[in-house]
Amino acid sequence: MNKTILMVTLLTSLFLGACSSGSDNAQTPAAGSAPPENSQAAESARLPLSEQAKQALEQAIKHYEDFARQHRSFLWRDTELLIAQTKEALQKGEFDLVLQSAEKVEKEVRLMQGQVEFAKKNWRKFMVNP
Amino acid sequence: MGMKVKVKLAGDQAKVKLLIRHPMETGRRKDDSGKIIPAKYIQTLTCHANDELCFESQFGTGVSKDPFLSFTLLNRKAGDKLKFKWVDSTGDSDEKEVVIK
Amino acid sequence: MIRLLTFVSLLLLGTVSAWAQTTDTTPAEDREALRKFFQSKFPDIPLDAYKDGAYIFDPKARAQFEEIEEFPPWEFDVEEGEELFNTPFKNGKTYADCFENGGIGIAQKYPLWDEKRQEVVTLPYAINLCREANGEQPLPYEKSDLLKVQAYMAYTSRGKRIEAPEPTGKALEAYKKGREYYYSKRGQLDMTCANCHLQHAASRLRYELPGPLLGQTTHWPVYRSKWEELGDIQRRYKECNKQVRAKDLPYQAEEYRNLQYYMHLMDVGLEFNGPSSRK
Repeated sequence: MNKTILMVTLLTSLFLGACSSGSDNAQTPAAGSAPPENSQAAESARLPLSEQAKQALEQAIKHYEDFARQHRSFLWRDTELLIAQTKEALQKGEFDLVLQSAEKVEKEVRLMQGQVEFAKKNWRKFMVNP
Repeated sequence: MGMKVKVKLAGDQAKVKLLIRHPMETGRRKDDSGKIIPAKYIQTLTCHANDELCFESQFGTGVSKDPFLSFTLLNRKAGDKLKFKWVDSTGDSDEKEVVIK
Repeated sequence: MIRLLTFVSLLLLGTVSAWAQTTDTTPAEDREALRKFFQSKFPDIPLDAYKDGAYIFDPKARAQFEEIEEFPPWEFDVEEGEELFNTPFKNGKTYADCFENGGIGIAQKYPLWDEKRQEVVTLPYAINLCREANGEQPLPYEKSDLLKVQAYMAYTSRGKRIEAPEPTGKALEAYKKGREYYYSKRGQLDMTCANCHLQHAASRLRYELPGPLLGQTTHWPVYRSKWEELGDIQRRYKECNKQVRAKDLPYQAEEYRNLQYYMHLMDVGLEFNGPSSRK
């Protein structure tokens, strides 16, 4: 599951990268208009993701939410906010933000998963044993 | 609101402990909707022993909710009548009388 | 040959799993081990002193605490709590009808395993269950009159010894869950409850002294100067979670009730001295 998300993330960022360099050629900024970088960034942020990528992201977010629910006693405060932020950004179509947030959430969820597994195996070591 | 007083006499010294039920609202806090909670805090606390002023304290917004005060009165004896009174910034007041045992 | 091998491996498996089960420590053993730990670390502190938490480690703070105890800030709440406790519900019944001995002198038995409900029930939880059973709205677990009723009930138990029957079956499972929670690292700061309250009790955490695990449940609800009001132990659980950057759970979450149950079992026999005051 994790590998799929990483793959999707990579593919999507590549796709967006390709699109922004595409718009470089397609748009010749007129004299006196807004600086090229901003309009290009705005364009790439609003470029539609492929349906596949969007669905994969939605699935990823659902996976994070499920994890948060199932392991709520290991959930980090900030991660809960980040997941909500990612979901909101996806709904608004702010894809740069989605990818940024999703990457952070991905990292944090993996760390939390590590905590869940570590605790299961090692909690006794912190107890005073007879 | 209420006021509780405890007095312990040791020789001619009366150790007084006071617990006052009071919100001590500074007037700088906001409620959940963003509105300022109106100020209401004790300004003065006085103690009269046998109708003679023997202790006065000026509180102000630095004192927190449900103030606790402890002080010693000198030259006191059993049978002395102590009257405690506080007045707050909205004009409210409360009194309590205690006879030293 | 295969049948023989299957039989032998099943036998071994059975033996191993039975052995694994018998090697888990019982609540009584955990309690004993905890006491030995603290008593060997602090040989001058008698067992009975642990009910006063972190104040046993700092003489100056203890002196101030003892003065406050002479005229504690929760006295008003206990008086108001008594009034509320004796005020009948709309249906004519009172809190006394829900509790053993009319609710007097029983706070030291909580939290307990409720066999009928098949869950751990804490005192505030029981108070709200009582309200609901009598057609009243449950009260919030924070900043509400519930704390006053709890404070009054706790006050009637002062001086009694913490008691709990040794858990078995589902109750033992709940105990084990609570116990595992205590020793699991969580939050962005990756800390267990034990890090502060076991290994570093009596060490400074910035300027503060974390209270030791032993005796930590004896004195609730607590009037914390920081809160300027009474609060339940679960309010502190929520704060502790937030302080290690973990998401706090809602009041009376199953995890919190099980955790409280574990901690309660560690205090069996100690003197109950709720309500109390703390910084």
